[in-house]
Amino acid sequence: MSIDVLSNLYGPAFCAVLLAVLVWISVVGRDRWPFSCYPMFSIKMDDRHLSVFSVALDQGEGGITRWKPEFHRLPRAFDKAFRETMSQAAKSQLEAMGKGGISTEQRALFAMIAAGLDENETRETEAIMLVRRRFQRGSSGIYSLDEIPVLRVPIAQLRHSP
Amino acid sequence: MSPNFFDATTVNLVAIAADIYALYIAVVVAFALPVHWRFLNFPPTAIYNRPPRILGRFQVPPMKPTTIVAFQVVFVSALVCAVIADGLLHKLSLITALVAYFPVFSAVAGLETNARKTYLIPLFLVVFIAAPNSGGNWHSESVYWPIWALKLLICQIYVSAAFQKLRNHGVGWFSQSSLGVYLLRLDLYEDNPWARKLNSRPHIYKPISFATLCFQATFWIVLVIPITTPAYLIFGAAFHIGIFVLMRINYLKYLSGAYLILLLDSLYILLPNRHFYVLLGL
Repeated sequence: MSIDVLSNLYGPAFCAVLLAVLVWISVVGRDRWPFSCYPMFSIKMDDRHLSVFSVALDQGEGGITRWKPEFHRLPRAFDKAFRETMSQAAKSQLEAMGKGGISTEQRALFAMIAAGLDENETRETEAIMLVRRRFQRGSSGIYSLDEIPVLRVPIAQLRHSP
Repeated sequence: MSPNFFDATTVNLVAIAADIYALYIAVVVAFALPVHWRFLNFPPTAIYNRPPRILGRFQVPPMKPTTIVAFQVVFVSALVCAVIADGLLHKLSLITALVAYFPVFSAVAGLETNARKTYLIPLFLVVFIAAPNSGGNWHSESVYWPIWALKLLICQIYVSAAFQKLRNHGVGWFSQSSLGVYLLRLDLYEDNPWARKLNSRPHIYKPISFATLCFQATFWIVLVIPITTPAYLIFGAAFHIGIFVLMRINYLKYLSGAYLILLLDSLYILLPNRHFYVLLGL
């Protein structure tokens, strides 16, 4: 084959390989960085998904405020992590009993949050709390929010954590 | 001009696209450096302890924040060099940027503006590296297929996203209130005023979901009917601005670079030669 023919085939061949890879990754439905099947918002969502674990700061007389870090997606990463510790709860229940009601994994997560508080927040915060936030659908179809404290760890305990 | 896959272009559209894209990403990443630095030094971000593996196999080793920032400087410098340089140096700069991309974005993948939103960067760089004459003179003729390949990469985002929705839900995806639940869930995490406003008007979810699915599932048309590119460019920009307003998800930070390529292609398609050259100062 002449160089001309080869150079004419180069573009179509490159695009054919690219197309094949992209079709494969989309059909298989997996992520292979930097390829992705882009599954965002494709998971079926219903009212069961309207319950999350949220972190709050108990500031004594200043009240209880939601933890709102600069990186606003962090709370969902902690929700996932706390959720995993909850599923391990039965396993670590005995261990938790002896350490003020929380497991080692949960303590590590609280310590991570405490380490990210700035000076003002650390001074004003008495404890870090884990709150279950949930939307419940009323008979009219309108959702209402309820919040139930699940765990509370005094910040002094976290400062002395190993 | 409505170029097809096998056409030659009257200007070096690939070189113009490579320069515009490289410069855009260089500027965005340079401005993101302070945010990345704060992210790397914020203790709670240690929760993101499972960065993606390259091609699902190779883990980028953990590095100190200073090393990661050094890679970012290399990444930005290589992209700027790719804009300035021609020929072999241009290609070497693109290859350097491609290599530096992985340590840079592995470490900050958890940041809300990153993750999948940066995935097009290395893929675009591969196309520019593979394209003939990507570092050449803007005046010279070139081939159109690299632009087609870039459009294919953009297209896959939307068509695959639509495919995943249809696979999981069937055509019923737009007929249910899934979008409303997504918004309310977002509200639970980070206060989303739109979620509660729209919650009292649930009938609005259906047309929004239907329009989303139509837009995504038909994006492939730009590959076979190039004249439709300007329309999809406008729909796409509106779609991402809508997502940003409704859900605080900023796809456009990095994806705007790809949209600039669609804009360039649209101008090339819509404008007469003479006007296109004047616009680009040729």
